[in-house]
Amino acid sequence: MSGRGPDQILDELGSALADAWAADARRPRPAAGLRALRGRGRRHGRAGRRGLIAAAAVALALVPTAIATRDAVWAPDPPPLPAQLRPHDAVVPGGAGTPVYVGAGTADAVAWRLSATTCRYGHVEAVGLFLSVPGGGAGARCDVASRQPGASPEALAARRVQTYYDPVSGMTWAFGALPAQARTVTVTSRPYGGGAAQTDRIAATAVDGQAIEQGHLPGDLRVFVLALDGGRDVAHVTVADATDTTILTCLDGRCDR
Amino acid sequence: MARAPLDQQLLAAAYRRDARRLLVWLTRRTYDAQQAVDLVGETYARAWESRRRFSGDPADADALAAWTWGIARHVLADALRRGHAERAALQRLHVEPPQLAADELARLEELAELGSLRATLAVALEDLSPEQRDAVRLRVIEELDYAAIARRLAISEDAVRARVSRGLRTLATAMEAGGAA
Repeated sequence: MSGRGPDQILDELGSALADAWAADARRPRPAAGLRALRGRGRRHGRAGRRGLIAAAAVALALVPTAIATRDAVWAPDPPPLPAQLRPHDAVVPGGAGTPVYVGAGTADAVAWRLSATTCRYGHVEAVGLFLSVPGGGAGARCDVASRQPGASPEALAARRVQTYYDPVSGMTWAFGALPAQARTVTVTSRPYGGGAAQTDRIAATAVDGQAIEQGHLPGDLRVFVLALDGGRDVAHVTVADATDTTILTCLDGRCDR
Repeated sequence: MARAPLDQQLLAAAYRRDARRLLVWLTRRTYDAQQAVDLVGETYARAWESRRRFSGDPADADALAAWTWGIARHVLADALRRGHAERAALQRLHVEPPQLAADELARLEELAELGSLRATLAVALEDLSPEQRDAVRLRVIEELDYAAIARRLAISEDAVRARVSRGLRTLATAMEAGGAA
């Protein structure tokens, strides 16, 4: 059809949207995607969720996280970092995805859930991961890059591996975002204060396609989550492809190959 | 008193208030009226999908507009990076944006006052790489379509779109300073 003015075009689009919203509102909420990602993770009751929120708030004094109502795979959207905590030379991402759940499960009866956010700073793409467990949670936001060498967008993109000691379960969690060709992850850790090194090997898990699409995450993103007994320092992480060739070596969480 | 959630009626009212302004804003940043219409649709489709995360007062028109603009910025950044409009949320809702005829595109460009921006762009173009400058000049100044530019430069249409998008993104700062808001 020809000859419409801008207002008529917008009315047409608005009507189509309103009809779609009405149809969508009548539709039962989809849960299949979340169920697929939940794995063996258990659901938290209201009291449990309140405990989780309280614990997360304590663990994240600098970056409080709000637990919001969940749709299919949307993860809680952290509030913006307060301006006074933002570095003076902060680099604002040109684009940021919506946090989505990229994995869930249980380890030694402790339920965990992993969410991811993509930030793009020009040609640099960083993925921030956040692990939630009943005792709290930790991870990285991807919107606090600065121009400092250790906090630049490039450094943020290389910081693929995170660790978190959960005082409630007494476990150390190592988790990370990996490239598409990653298949296995080898984690070397030592007890806090020193002791014998321990090496654990775990599979790199492909992220559900729906989560990648909704979160605008890098295509074929893989992740891993490893639970270690007790408080441990993660000294070294290597990532191998399907031929067992090392493709990433990470020291102190930074994976610079 | 409990605050009402952002529902269909409130979002539709926001659309009626803000969509025209958003369309102009997007047209002035993409120089592509059809893409701008698609992006308006994608913005409100995403707003619908993430309505439960709107933490402000849905009756506050300014707060709702600011939130919508935040979504639009992400939608625009995605489009400039990819070289075409992301329409995933629209597709999930099974909404097909209106397809515009040539005269309708011209009216939208007139609404967005693209003509006055072209003069500013012509100066700012000097900051671009030669490849991006040629693509943006042919698309924005000479108003050729992508197929014609592809033939002129002997590259694919996708490559043209990518050069134009990246060039426009580079120019965005200059245009903001030049009062293109």
